Amino acid sequence: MENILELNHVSFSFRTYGGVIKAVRDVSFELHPGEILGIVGESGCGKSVTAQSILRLNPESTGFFESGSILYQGQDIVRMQKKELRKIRGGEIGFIFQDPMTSLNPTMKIGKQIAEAIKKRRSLPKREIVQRVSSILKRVGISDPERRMKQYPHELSGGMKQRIMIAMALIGNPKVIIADEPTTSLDVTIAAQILKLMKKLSREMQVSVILITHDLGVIAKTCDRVIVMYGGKILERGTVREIFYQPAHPYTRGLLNSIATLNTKKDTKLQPIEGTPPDLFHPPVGCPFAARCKYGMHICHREMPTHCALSDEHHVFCWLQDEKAPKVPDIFQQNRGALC
Amino acid sequence: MLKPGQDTPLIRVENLCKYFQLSSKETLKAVDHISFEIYKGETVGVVGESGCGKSTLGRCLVNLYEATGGDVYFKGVNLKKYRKQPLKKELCQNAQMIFQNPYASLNPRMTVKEIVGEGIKLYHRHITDAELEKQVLALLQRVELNKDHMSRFAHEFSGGQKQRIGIARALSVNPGFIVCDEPISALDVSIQAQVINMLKELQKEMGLTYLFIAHDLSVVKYISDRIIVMYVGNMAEYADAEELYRNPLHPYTRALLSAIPVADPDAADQRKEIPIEGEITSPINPKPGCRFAPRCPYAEEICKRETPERKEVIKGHYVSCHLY
Amino acid sequence: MEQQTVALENDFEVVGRQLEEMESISRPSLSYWQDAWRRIKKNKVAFFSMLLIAFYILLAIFVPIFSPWNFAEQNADDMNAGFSAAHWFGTDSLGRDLFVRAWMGARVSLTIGFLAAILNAVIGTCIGGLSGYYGGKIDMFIMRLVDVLYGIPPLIVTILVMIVIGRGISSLIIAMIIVGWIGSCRFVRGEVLRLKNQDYILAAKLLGVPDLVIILKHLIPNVMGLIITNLTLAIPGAIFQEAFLSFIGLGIAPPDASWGILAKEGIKMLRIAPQQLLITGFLISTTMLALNLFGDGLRDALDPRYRGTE
Repeated sequence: MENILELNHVSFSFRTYGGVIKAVRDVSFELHPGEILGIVGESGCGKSVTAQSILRLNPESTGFFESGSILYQGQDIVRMQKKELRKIRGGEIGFIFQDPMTSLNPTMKIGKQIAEAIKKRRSLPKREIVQRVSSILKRVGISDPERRMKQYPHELSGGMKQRIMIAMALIGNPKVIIADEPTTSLDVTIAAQILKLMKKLSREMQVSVILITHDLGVIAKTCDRVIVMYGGKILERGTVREIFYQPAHPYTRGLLNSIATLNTKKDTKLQPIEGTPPDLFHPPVGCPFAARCKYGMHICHREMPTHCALSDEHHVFCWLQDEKAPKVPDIFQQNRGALC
Repeated sequence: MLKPGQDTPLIRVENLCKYFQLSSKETLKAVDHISFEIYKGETVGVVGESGCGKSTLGRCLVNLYEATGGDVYFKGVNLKKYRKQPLKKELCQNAQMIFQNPYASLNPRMTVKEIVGEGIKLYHRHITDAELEKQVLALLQRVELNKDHMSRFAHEFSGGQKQRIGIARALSVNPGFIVCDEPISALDVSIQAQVINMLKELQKEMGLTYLFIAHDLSVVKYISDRIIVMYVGNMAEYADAEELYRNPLHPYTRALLSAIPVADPDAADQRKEIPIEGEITSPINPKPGCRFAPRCPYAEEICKRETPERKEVIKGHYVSCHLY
Repeated sequence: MEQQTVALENDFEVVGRQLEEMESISRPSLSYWQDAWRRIKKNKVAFFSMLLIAFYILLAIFVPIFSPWNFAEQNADDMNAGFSAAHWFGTDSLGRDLFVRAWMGARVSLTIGFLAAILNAVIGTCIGGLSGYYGGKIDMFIMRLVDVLYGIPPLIVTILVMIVIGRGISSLIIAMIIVGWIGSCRFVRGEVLRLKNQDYILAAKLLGVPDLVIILKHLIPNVMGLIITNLTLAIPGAIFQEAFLSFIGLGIAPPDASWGILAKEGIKMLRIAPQQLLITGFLISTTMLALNLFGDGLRDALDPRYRGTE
């Protein structure tokens, strides 16, 4: 299967007052055509920075690639000329930002903003533009598109604005859409609608989606494959069922244990992950999760764990997979001596 | 868990209304005729989406807002009487609040010792510095912070730690009742559990009563004894936590339960979805009738005309819906 | 990055969580002002500007004391002289030593500038703070008053005051503050409005902290940084205002010296002895520039947005 997007050993950092923040460290993954790939992690794990780096949307004055390549259909985005990059941005690769409140221009009518995305690429007669805008608005579930086109962003609700963002990302006929926390600022019932819409559009239009979120429920509902990030690194990735039912990393297991679900009994205690995320100015030399890991071993603090493939899709970076490690009850450990 | 009706409630809310006059023509009806009770030692959860008025409700209960209509009785006395001294002081020592945004709820110019000690000093004017420090330290240790943190400033802490400082501050005046206004929404998932566990433990140790406001129904169900579901200022449903989950009666509650993302792929696939289309009604100049009618799959003519009354459909389980 | 490949005996021994370092904070704790001072020191331009102003202030204090010349002492033999060892800045048209006059003038100009700006800030903060915090009718009344006063040209006010009270340092200061407090009033009111609904203010209210204490202990300290920055940036304006008024004959009366007076005298001699005006101009400009640069640096140092990245 051809990968539509490939990140190879990408490291991205920021220069700040206090030093260099190593926000993303040695991240590699692929995006398959037509799938919805989720990247999950907590604040500071590097998921948003990774997403933005795919289109080089990070602030140019402070952010820079330390190493790595991002291949889109064979071309390396990291080394691409600005002109080429601009063609891809908003066209073949669309981006949906987190906060619809601040991502739309408050002084421009909705129709005009969407039309800008078309006009950038080709000039078309006005009537055709209006027709395209209208049809894309209908596609994202906005009834009465002719009226909506003439409205300003402040006249619309949060959910409506997010649909507009999706429309703007779709209008360039993208092959990939990157959605950075698209439902975080929305209400539960509205978020459910938006997720359903995204899933439907992805299947209908054969668009691959990278969905960034901190909400495991959103991942479970929408994604095919999942990447778990922490401290700027990928700790585990796999199909959604592998991650939820056979977590191979103590952090993944910790996250799953710490959330209250509708089935959690009142008398059971929630299991938080003690401690706080690592300092990205001086990231730990070994596994970033070692200090908070209840199975932390000496080697975890010393060396970054090597890559281990538990199945085609299920990969994990953890010393517990090593044959010398003890057997632990709630982590999926491969059979001793298997491929690593 | 206490059974309503057996004791006199600590707080009784009767037809509480809070309206904001935005302009001469626009009235924001944030809370519109809400009635319920809170008994000592229990946790009442309030859940709902934006515009439902849950935050406003919380603030009304501690006199941060003055009610536009209806009454709130705290220990049998109308909250209006608590607006003036000497009762005002008493309310402050009995009811406190934990705020949502840990980054905005601590004064950036004060040290932790000053933040947590302010309440103590206020009501013990002649307390010695040494004694104050001892009491502040005791409070900090209760929220799992230590002596080193006392001279630090708020910005030096993580979100979870800041929230714990906020809890220590709320506890500094020994209140019996605490309104928790979305205390975990701004925290990372793995830290949320820390704060929730802490709140539960403190409740057990100190016999606290909570009004727990949140938009995450899973968390609210976990921590609450009884739950109020609010929609655009109205109370949709009000029942025991387990009962609400097992037997949701109001169409909005059902839709809400089905929309909550569940961290379980198989369950997510199998769950029957109750789709509700449309946007949330605005609380500004709301039309008469049930606020949920525009989106309700079961809406009838009467729903658009008359606001439904609160009815006790099963013992302890109240719904405001014309279906019942 | 080369990683150790030598395996140790107990590599896979479980040691569990190592949390002790986590809850503790390693960096030293700095108060707001300590932190600001550290930042100012790092900003070379601002730091140098601050030193320059301090230098000028020292000169203003000590030169007239230690100079062999008196600022009013005339000497008909030595008029409009250029730079010399005896007269470092030369002399003016009446033979008075310009060096001592320049720094006597500095005393007046700097005093008026600082005093007027500080008084404006204090008055504006009090009024703006109360207006913003209490809102309602008080706020409305004060803001309408401000609107009215804002519309009156300051020069007219100054002239009127001067006519009524007479010329001199104190009347000049009074004239400058009668409408000068408006700027900081509006600004502080805006900040207070923004801050008063912050959660920590509500928390203080809920604890039962009295209003006055909230304003003094919670609100003002959080606005103080901005007040001081604005104050610093208002001083150059006040200095210039005094210079201008004295220049056109409305401010200080001779033989008192101020930079405005010196400029007025210097312009008469522009063709014969241009250095007189140029020196005064240089002093005024460098002072204003230094204050502006320092004020900018101060704003950066006190801006809470930068906190947390270090």
